[in-house]
Amino acid sequence: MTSKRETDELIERYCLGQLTPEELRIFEQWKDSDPEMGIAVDHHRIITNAFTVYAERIELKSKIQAIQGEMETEEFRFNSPLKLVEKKETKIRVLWKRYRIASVAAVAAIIAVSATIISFNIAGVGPNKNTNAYQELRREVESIKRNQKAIINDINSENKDAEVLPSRSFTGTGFALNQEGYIITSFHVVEDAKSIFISNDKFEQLQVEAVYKDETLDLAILKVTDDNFKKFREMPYSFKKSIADPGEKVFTMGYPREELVYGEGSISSYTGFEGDTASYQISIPVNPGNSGGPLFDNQGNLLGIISGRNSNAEGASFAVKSKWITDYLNQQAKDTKIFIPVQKNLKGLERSAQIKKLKDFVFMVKVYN
Amino acid sequence: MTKHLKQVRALSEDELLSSLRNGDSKALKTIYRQHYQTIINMVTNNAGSLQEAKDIYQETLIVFYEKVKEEDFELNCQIKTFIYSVSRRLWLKQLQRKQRFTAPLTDTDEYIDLSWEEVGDKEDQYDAMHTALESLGEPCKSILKDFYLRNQSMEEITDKFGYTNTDNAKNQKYKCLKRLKKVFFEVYQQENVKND
Repeated sequence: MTSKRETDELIERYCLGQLTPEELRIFEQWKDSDPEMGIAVDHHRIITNAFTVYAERIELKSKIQAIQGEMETEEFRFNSPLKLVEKKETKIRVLWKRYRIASVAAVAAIIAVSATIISFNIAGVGPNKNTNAYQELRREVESIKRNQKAIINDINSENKDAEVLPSRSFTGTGFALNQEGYIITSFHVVEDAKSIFISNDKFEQLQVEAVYKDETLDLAILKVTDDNFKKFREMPYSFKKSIADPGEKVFTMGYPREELVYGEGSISSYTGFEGDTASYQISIPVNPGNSGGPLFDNQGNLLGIISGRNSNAEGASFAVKSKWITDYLNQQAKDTKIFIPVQKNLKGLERSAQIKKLKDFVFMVKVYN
Repeated sequence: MTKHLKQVRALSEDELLSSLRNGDSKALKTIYRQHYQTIINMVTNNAGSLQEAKDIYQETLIVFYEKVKEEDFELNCQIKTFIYSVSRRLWLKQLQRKQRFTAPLTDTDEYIDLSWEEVGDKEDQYDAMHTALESLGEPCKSILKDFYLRNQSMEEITDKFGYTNTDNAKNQKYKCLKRLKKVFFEVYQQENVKND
């Protein structure tokens, strides 16, 4: 007599057509004489069919959502540039309503200015965003006006919980943290996101979800949830553990528009906006959409993440330091064990060769909320 | 001249279908854009929000694509009419589920009165599978997904999950599938009863 598990495996192999002629003959006899067996076979077929339906639907869904996203991006492009400016202003005002570590940050700033020695252990982590000068750089792509009829309908219908806000979408940049499908970007890029997708030349569109967020450090860790996704290729870069010095040459890659854009400059200061010790000031011109992009040194070590710019000053951009990112990953996200790669394959390469190796790991992050 | 034009148009609808059948993503894009506004209007004119309208439209396109891919499927009307009819059925179902609306729908287009069996069978399967997979927890969920969705071999799964040998992994998979089947058929049959 065979065990239940063996019976099950027999059914599975029967459905796949993997039985030997001899097994098949015995199995069919058994199936004909035992109606339970017939039902079990039917159930197995329904289940495997449902698996196929499930897998195909997931793939189809992401394709269709990509079309929807594309349409909405176009809608934005055809809108007048005037509108863009308007939107940017309102957006910035809203974003500046964040909390701040006000007095501590101010003290840190005074110390940073008056003393020539800078200590990295002073508090004041995270930029003081409660001012008009700090601008976060996510790009608003779309703002759909609600169909008037829908609004009238909401008023008439009893459905009070219908959505009131128009749906909006933003883009930013993000990059791979390791091969397992973890992506890092800025917190403000994925803030309030309902659904998040990443894309670049290599990966047409991958659905991701935010697994960790930290508003103070302005960091978010995303993970690819797409069923078709297996692994990224071997990572060419790793995090720099020490602090970089002013004058060091740096570069970034990001998506201020639909295409990957390269930018270079140098570290300008040990501290970021108003003496924020968690970030550097850098001299790379960045634009909305650059937020969340990687900051590399000449050897292709990761120095930080682009987070914002000073809108009152020329060429003053900011990036969160890699040391804070690795500390954050080690402490906050330790239960998931997000593995940080140690490879360094970019040393000594020409810049264009470095970019060629890096570009598949840098993504446009599209956020719908 | 007009006759000639008409012919070209009729041909292109057929061409659209056949390239869709061959998995051409451009065809899907074209169709998606063509009928978007009609369906958004239909839903928002019938007590739906914009977000609900978008969701219904996406669901409709999924059903449409699946139908076109079926070997014995024949479209006896214009794509437009079929898409409208599917959307309409999906939206009616949702209104019913939310118990929001009782008056008949205001229609702007011609439609065929499709039954839920014709439109929603795969959705029911998808829902039941989704519920069943989510109810499992780890490692069952990942083992089954790896085996049935990603077509990984039992050897790969044994390695990945750290089982001492393939037989242990097979035993685990067997237990997981048993639990999955139980939940799946509960949900799936319930849906079928509701639809009768």
